[in-house]
Formats: sequence, structure tokens, C-alpha cells
Amino acid sequence: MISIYILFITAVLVLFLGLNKSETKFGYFTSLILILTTILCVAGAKGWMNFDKLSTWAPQNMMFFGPSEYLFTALITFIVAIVLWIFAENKEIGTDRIGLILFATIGAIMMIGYQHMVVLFLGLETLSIPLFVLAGSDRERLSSNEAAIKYFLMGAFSTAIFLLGIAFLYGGTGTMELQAIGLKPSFMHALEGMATPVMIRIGLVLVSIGLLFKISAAPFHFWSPDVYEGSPNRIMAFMSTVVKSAAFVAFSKLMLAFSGVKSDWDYWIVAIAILTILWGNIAALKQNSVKRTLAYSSIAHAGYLLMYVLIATEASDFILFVYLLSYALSSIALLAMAHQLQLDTEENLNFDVFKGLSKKQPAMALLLAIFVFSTAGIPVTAGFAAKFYLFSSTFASYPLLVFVGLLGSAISIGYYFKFIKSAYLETGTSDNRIVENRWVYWLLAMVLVAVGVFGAVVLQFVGV
Amino acid sequence: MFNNLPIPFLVLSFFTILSALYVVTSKNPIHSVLALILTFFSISAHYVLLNAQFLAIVNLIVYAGAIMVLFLFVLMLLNLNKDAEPIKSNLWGIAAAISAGLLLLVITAAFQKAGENVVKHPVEGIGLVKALGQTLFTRFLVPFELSGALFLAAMVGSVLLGKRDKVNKDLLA
Repeated sequence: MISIYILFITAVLVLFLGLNKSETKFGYFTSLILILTTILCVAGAKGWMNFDKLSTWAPQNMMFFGPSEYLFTALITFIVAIVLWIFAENKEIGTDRIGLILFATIGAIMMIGYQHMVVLFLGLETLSIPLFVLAGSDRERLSSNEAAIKYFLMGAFSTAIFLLGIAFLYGGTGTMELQAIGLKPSFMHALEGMATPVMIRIGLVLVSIGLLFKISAAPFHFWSPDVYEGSPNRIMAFMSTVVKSAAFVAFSKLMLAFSGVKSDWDYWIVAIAILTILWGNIAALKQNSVKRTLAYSSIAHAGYLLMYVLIATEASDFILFVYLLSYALSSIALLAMAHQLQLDTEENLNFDVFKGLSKKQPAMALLLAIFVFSTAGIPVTAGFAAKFYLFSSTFASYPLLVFVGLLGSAISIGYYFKFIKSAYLETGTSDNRIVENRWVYWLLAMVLVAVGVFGAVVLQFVGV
Repeated sequence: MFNNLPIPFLVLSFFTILSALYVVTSKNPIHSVLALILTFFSISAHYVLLNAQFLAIVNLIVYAGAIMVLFLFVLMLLNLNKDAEPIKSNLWGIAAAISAGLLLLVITAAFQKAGENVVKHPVEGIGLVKALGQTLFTRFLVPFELSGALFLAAMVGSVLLGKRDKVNKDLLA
């Protein structure tokens, strides 16, 4: 709750103060506020500080922030802070984009802390509506407009399906509270051996479709490469990390509520996960643009993360946390580096931007390699640790899925190698721009390696 | 058949059906839209008769207000005249009549069954603004407050899409 207060006040302040002013300073300012929020949320999660007094007015059956919710909120605000800081140097006038990013972040936090389907729906909307606008915020570029309209139309339909699903769940269970929603089918299943009512099954499928659309899992992913490519780089960095993280936390919380009737839904989650992993990885091999490659890579990562939905328990939050942390940090860093090396912003962002990087900026090329290794899941990086925890805990119940995941990771080396190849092997004539804000990249790389090497320490901190 | 029904209901129903018929039969699209507004007004009056004040007001604001104004604007901007109207065969009319008739049949059947339960177990003051406000400000206070962020975001977004960049460049120079 405290994070929502801070972000809302910051958003309103920034909107008023930054009217018609250059965005850069406000980007740094907002980023610092977000870092502060992250620290407060971590303090709340570890019990160093207690913010309960701020939310006594709010009934706990609507929204609740326990330790794990605080940690995921901290993760979200940290990601947004990094995105705002790295992309702060720009020529935008007016701070409405920052305001909208903050509102979308509030939506993401609502999706993390929800205890009631109404709050989940509102969070999903608060996350989506600013993003529809932000995807098209580069109004002079045609592809940005295309991205906005595509995202808006698809998003509106998926929201409608999601809402219909909530209605079916309400009809089937008679409640919209997360604590109670899964009780009736679970009891019917456990005590009387009865099949789950059709209404609840339909509701689960429809609600899942709405959330799977947001995380761009396979049959619902067609929008994401186009939208990611068309939207401004900063917005793509936000969408591919924050939206996915929030939707995964919300999705796993919802499915955990229905874990009593897992046999009703696990088979189609497995099918979707397999389809997503294979489709994302294979389609990524064919791409020439950095943004499209990262978009398909994010689809593939959504496939791996669907494993977590199947094995989620109250105590396994750390797997999701570590995975989202490593995935988000490394993919933001890759995209930001490509963005800063790009000379002409109108041009398509292809792998040529990395040409000759190892000669001109060897340190940055090394960092690039670390980020690529982490995204691909190669040892000594956080990506490996995350995948290791995820796959090893899934293996007992879904060995086939883990096998497909390993196969997908092997395929993924094929396209992640393109980054390394153009940075190290190709000596380009291109005069790269200088990477700015270098210390942020160093920080990100250090976090990734630290999580990779001292994974156990991080886990202890997260509370396992 | 009509003896036990209150007279205001009969009058209103007469108006509703008459204006709804005019929506369909009128050749001029503007007249159709105006008749549709009249239909919405009389449906709202039905809601008032059913003691559902809130629904009546929302129906007026949303349908008769916002959506119908949008319809009118579109019609006026498109400048529809008789030449431009696409020729439709009777088949469309028959198909529409059959599907609408089926919908009517299903809804009537459903409500005949449900109606008994509603009459047997009436809920006190369910359609009143007071009941709604009490629910909204006690049980659903959190979503209500949070939707403020949503609407603010939507407003900022529409301003961002709508504003002209040139103005800002001039101000900066």
C-alpha cells in the first residue's frame, strides 16, 4: 500500500511540475523516488519497518501486502527505476510519459497485492491503459501508431474475455475473494470426489486467457513482436519486464488458489508452456532485428515461467523472484545497450549496432556478454541459477516439460550468440556511439553475477 | 391480461415499443437516432418504476448521453443520404427478425423461471443509490479509490495523444 501512495503522489507531482519542461531531470528524480520505494518495500518485507497503520482503512480481503507481496513490489519498483534511469537521456518534452509509466506501475502493484478479483481486474486495466498510450507515444513514427492500435484492440478483447471469466468464476463459486474462491471446488474434489462444475472450469480458462495474453504465451503472443518493435525502446523495456512480472505473480496467485483441483487445469498449462517455449525459441532464430529477437526471447521466457505456475506453493516464491529478477535485469540491459549504441533512431534496430564493440569499448562488450549469458542461462550468471531452481523443482512432477525447457534453452543459444558474434567477431566500420551511464550496467552485471554465484545468500535474504 | 398492470407501466411500454419501432422503420438515420434516445429515456423510466434509481440515471448518462451523442456525431460527419445507403436484401431483414425473436424467446423463458425466485426473496433497497453508495464506500472502498488512479491515467493518456507537439516546441524556444 505504501508503494501505491508514494507512486501516486510522485506521478501527480511530476505531471504538474514537468509540464512543458524537458523530461530528463524528472526521469532521474522519479528513478530516485522509485529506489527509495524499493528500499521501503524491502524493509516492509523483512519486518524492519511496519506500514500497517497506513492501510488500516483498507479491508484485507481486497488487497493485502505480506512479505512476499512486498518483495515483488520491490522488484517491480526496482525494474522501473532502472528503466527510467537508463533511458532518462532523451529529447522528450513534457513529463506525461513518466506519469503514465508510474500509473502503469501502480497497476502492476495492484496486480501483485490483490486479494479480490475486482482489484485484479482494476490492476490489469490500470496497467494496460497507460501502456496503450505509451506504445503509440512516438506519434511521428508510423510503426508506433500501428503498435498502439494493435495493442489496444487485442488488449481490449482480452480484457473482455478476462472479465467474462471472472463472471463465470463468480457464478460457479459464489465469491470473488482469492482466499475463498478455490475452496468450494477443492472441497468438492477432495471430500466427495466430485468433478469441478463446468462453470468454474470455463471461468478458469477464460481468466487464464486474459492473463496469458498479457504474458504473451504461445497462442496469444502474436501481438507482442509487432507491438514491442513498434513502441519506443523504453516502453518495450517496461512492457517486456514489468507487465510480465506482474501478470505472472497474479497468475500464480490465482492458480495457487485453485491448486486443490490441479488436475482440471494443469494439462492445458503444460500444453501452452511447451508450445510457448518451442514457438518462441524457434521463431527467434529467424529474426534480424534486436527488438524482435528480444520479443521472441521474452515469449520463450514466459514459457519457462509457466512451469512455475504449475509448481507454485506458498513457500516457492523465491523461484519466481530470482527468475524475474534475472530475466528483467538482463533483458533491460541488452535493450538499453542496443538503444544507446544506435546512431539513427529512425532506423531499424538490428545487430549491426554491436559491430566492433569489443575493439572500441571492450568493457561494454564484456558486460554485453554477461547480459547475454544471463538471458540464455549460462552458468555463473543469475539466469542459470534461476533456470536451475525452476527446472529442478519442476522435474519431479513434470519431467517432459523440463525436457522441452532444456531443448528450448539449447535452441536459444543460436540466437543469443548473434549478440556475441556481432560484438566480438565482426569488425564493423560502424562508429558506435558511446554507452552512457556505464555504472548502471556495471551495477546490473554485478547483481546478475552475484545472484549467480551466491544464489544461496540471496535465497536466504528472500526468506527461504 | 392488462387489468392487473399499473397504468404508468402500460403508457410507458406503449411509448417504448412505438419509439423502438420507429428506430427500425425510419428512413432517415438522424430520426432513428433521435427515436433511439426517446427509447432509452422510456426504458430509464421503467427502471424508476422498478425502484432502480441508480440504473435509471446511469442508463441516461451513459446511453442517452454519451453513446447517443457519439452516434449523432458520426452520422452527421458521415453525411449519409439515400444514394449512399447500401442496398440490403430482404434476407437480412428476415435473418435479423429471426435472431432477435429467438433472443426474445430465450430471455422470456429465462425470466419466467427466475422471476418466481425474485418475487419470493426480494432484497430490500437493492436498486437504490443509498444501498449502492454504502457498498461502494464500505466493502468496495479499495477498488473505488484505486479506480481513481485508473481514470487519472486514462485522462493523462488522452491528453498525451491529443496534444500537439508544435505548441511545446514553440514554448521551449
